Parts: sequence; C-alpha cells; structure tokens
Amino acid sequence: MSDSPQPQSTTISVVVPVYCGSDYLEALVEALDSLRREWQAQEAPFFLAEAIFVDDAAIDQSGPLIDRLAGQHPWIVPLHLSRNFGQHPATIVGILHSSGDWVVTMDEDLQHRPEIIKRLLRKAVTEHSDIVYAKPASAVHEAAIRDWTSRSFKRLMQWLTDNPNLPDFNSFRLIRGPVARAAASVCSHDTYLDITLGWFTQNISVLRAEMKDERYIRTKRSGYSLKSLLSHGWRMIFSSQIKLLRIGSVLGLSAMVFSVLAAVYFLVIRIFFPLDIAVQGWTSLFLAITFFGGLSAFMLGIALQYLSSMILKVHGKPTFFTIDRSGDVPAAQWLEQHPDPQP
Amino acid sequence: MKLLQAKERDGLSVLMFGLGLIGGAVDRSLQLRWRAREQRFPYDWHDSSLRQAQRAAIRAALPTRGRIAMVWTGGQSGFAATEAGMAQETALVTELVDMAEALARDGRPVDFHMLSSAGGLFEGQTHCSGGVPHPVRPYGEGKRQQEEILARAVGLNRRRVYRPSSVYGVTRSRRVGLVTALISNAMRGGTTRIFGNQNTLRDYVLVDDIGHYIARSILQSGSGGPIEALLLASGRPASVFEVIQRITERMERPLLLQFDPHPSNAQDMSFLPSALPADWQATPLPSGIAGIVTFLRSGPA
Repeated sequence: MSDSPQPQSTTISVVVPVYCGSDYLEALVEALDSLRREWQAQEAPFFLAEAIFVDDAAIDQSGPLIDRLAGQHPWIVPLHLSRNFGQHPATIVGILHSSGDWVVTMDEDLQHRPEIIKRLLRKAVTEHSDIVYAKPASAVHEAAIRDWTSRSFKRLMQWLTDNPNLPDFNSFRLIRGPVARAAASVCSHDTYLDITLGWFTQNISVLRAEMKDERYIRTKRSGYSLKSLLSHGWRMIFSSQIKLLRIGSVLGLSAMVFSVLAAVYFLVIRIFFPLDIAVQGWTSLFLAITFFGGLSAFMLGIALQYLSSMILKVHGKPTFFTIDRSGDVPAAQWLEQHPDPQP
Repeated sequence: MKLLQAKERDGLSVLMFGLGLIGGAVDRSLQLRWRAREQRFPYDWHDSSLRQAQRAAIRAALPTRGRIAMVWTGGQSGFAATEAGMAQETALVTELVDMAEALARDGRPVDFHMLSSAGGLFEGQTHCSGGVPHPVRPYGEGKRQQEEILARAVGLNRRRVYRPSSVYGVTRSRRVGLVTALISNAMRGGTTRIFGNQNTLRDYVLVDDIGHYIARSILQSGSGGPIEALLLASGRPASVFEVIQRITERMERPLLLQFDPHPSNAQDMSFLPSALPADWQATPLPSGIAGIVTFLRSGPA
C-alpha cells in the first residue's frame, strides 16, 4: 500500500491545537491512522496527508509526546509554540503550516471524532461548501447551565455582530485549504478566525453530529473561564462591524428628522394658533437640543463606521478572493457511490 | 569560478562553479567561517574546448595534497529551460564530475557538492517526502540526470546533492524569487506579474539559510559513502496570497499586481518536515521578508 497521495488525490490536513492532551493524543493518532488506512484500502480519491499537532505550551507532557508520535508517523507534523498563545492562534499556526486541499481543525480530546471527517467532506463537496461546521446534535456538556450559557452567549454575539453564521461556529470544522490559509494569514492576535473565514466565503454549511465533551462530563472542568469567554466575545466584536454603530447612527438620524418635523409643526401652531402655546421659549430650546444631539450622534456614527471599515481593512479584509472548486468532482462522485452506513 | 584555499582544515581547497544567488550565498558563508585565500579563474560555459584548457589551469593551481571540495551551484536557466539548454548544463556537470574523479584517482579525498532543485524534481507534489523524483519538464529531468551522473561517480569521497525548494533572497547585484520581486517592485511602485494564482502554494526558503548549510557541509570532513540527497525546504508552505499579505504589512503600502489568467506555474508544492535533514533549520517567512525589506531599504532598491 502506498503511503503517499496519488497525484490526483484530494489531500486533507488535520490541525489539532494541544494544551492539555496527553491522555488523548495516542488514541487520537491511532484513530487518524486507522482512518488514513481505511481510505487507502478503499482507494478513495482523498487522502489524509498530514496531521499537524500544535503544542500551545502544553501544561502536561503533550509536547514530548507529540515529538514521539511524529517520530513514529512521518505524516505527523509537530509544532511547538514558544508560549501559550491560546486555541485560536495555535489553530492559525497549524493552518499556515498545512498544504491540504481541505483543512480539518479539531480538538485534542476526542470530543471531535475523526470518523466524522468523511461526513464533513461529503457535505462540503456535494453542496460546494467552503466551510462545514460540525454542530452538536445534542447537549455537548450534558450540563444544562453550561450548555445554556454557551447558546445564550452565541445568540448575544450574533445580535451584536449581525453575523448569521455565528451560532454555528465550532472548533470542529472542515475548511477549503486556500480559504483556510488566506483567512489564517490575515488573522492578527485580536481577530477571530471564524469571523475572518466569513470574509472569504459565504458557502458555509453545518453538519449535525454527535459530540460529547467527555473531559467536562468526567471532571466538570471547562476549558473556558468567564475571563476567556469575555475575551472570546471581545475578539468577535472587534473583528466584526458592530451593529450598535449602525443603531446609533439611525437613532441620531431619527432624532434629527423628528426635530425638523416638530419644528414645522410648532411653527404652524405659532403662526396660526399662537394662543395654544401656554409656555413660551421652551420649544425652540427642546428642538435645538434634539436636532444637534441627533446630528452629533449621526456624525459620530458615520465617523465610527469609517473607523470600523479602516480597522477591517487593516485586519486584512480582502477586496476580492478567487477560488477553484472544480477539484471537488472526483471526491463527490466517489462519495455518491459509497454512502455512509446507516446508524 | 573561484578557488578557495587555506592551510588549516587539512589543506582544504574549494572549487566553486557557479556564483549566482545560491553560489554567492555559499561563498559569503564560507568566507565568514573560514579565512581562505581566493583565486578567480575564467570558466566558459559555452565552449567545451576552451573549458578543457581552463580545467587544466585550475588543476595546475591546486596543491598536490589535501582534501578537495568541488561545488556546483551553477545553472543556465530556470523552470522554463528547454531540453537543449538542460543538455548543455548536464554536459557541464558531467565534465566537472569527470574532473573530480580524475583528481580522486591521484589518491586524495574529493568531495562533490551539487545543487539540484526540489521544485524541478517534485513539481506539482504536495506533502512530498522527497522520495523518487517525478520531474514533469525538461528542467526537472535535467536535474534528475545530473544527480544520476553524480550517483555513478563512486570513486569520490562525499557526494551530497542539495535540493532547495523555492529560493528567495537578495545580494547587492541579484534579486531572485517572487518574494524579492514583490518587495523590489513595491519599493519603486512597479507592477509584479504573477505566473500562479493567489492560492498557489510554495515552500519558500531564504538563500542565506542554504548558503550557511552548504558551507557548513563543505567544511565538515568525513569519509565517503552513498550519495546523500538533502531536501532544503522550510516544511511550511505559504500561498501567494499570504506572501502578498506579509509583504503588504511590512511595506505598509499596497502592492501593484497582475495575475496571469493562464498561469503556467500554478501547481502547488509542499514538503513534509519529516523529509528535511535533522541539522537544517529554515528562517520563518515573515523574518525572511523583514530581512529583505531592511536590506533593500538600506541599499540601492
């Protein structure tokens, strides 16, 4: 059996950021290796070409373990970050080291099962998607408050950023290689990878799959603290055009329009029904405050919108990006002939 | 060509053929590490009878004892080379390998260091582990033949073939590679024509890294053995889009670009880090870009 991809094969790179995964890495590599062999045995037109493990200054023995696994499997690429940068930067580094036609990002702890990768690929090539997010089919943490908090946070962020895909964001994703690398290459330390991915494509789908955070269920310890959740939210907002800016501008404009209409109304009253005005002088003051307050809010909104556009440009939001999806056909045809077994 | 000699290091003499971008980097690195006397000799790449006489002159200038390292870092044309062009280059290499074997027959250790091309040998391959080459154009085929010629020269001491991926870098007189072209053109407000597309993946290596690695290898003494083919890549592919992005960030000005609508060189190439030599370390792309920008800003752009 050949251990390298056929020239025409669609190649898949797997990126795994690692922070505390020594209990899971061997099992994960075993699962990836068996998936690799299974596809080769089936002569599938796609190939798991590399698995990039990014040691994000892991707090356990994951670093040496990754090196040992890389010594055993030439398709494993070990990367060690000089300090702990966080999950998103680690994922970005891994993506930037990949060269697969598709890039899968997944967690270290087997919450994301490697066998789902084929289903993600099927979804992508049959629906011409550039990104497929795996979405939990049931509660991930099996803890009502934890799952409710997660859902509510995503809804709030969706409202604030006006991004329809935000509730689907998940670290288990299949991304078209060029889109993944382009997005990763414009990400700065403060940009949110999934928001950036949306700058390059709108072809985003979701695959419902069973996922369980076994580590949380077992230990009741989450990788997310309130601080990291707020940091997540901040980066989401900072990477997006904020809805509040538009709301502020619209409110300001409304106040101006209202003050002009009110001025006309009170002028008519003043001319034709002067006796109806019981208190003199307050109308003009009220209208002037409303008009100039509205004008200030409107102008500030416009200035902030400009600033927001400039920030997005500095963050690397592209003017255009080209993509070639023609390579999906062989994988799509093969997957059509090889349906997933029914559960 | 250039002959470098010194009394230390077992009386090592280095014969360098080809002083272009990579040859120049090897030469600079050798001079940094090794205080050697330098002699220049003419070497005509087009007239074989003239070359014969020039080789005789070079041999006459060599000391009678001590290790010799012959270094081929030449090349007449790039990826677009024709079969005839590569045949001419291969003939040059054959003559030099013959010369090395003749020197070895005098009973002295003769090492041969040959520059090949990962891009030529493995064009269009991703996640390449540096196995059997599958060249797709005359350039790669020529490089493969040159490696075979060296592989047959079993009378030589150490034989090393270096296969660099997409090389970029700059000297006072030469600028080579997409990275350098983009920076150079951005500085003078010129347009860069790109013969790939935004998503084309390449493995970019800085010429100075190659220079240091080959120079270190030349100065190491060792006994012969099978020919060694060394892949000199970063193991970290980068798309054209990323290169543009990194340069734009560094230059703080927009780049003027023209993409070829029918690119002839748009196939992806990448190399697995596990295929790279253990003692090789490549400069990260952002650092390499920063270095070139600084160099060009400090000198004539």
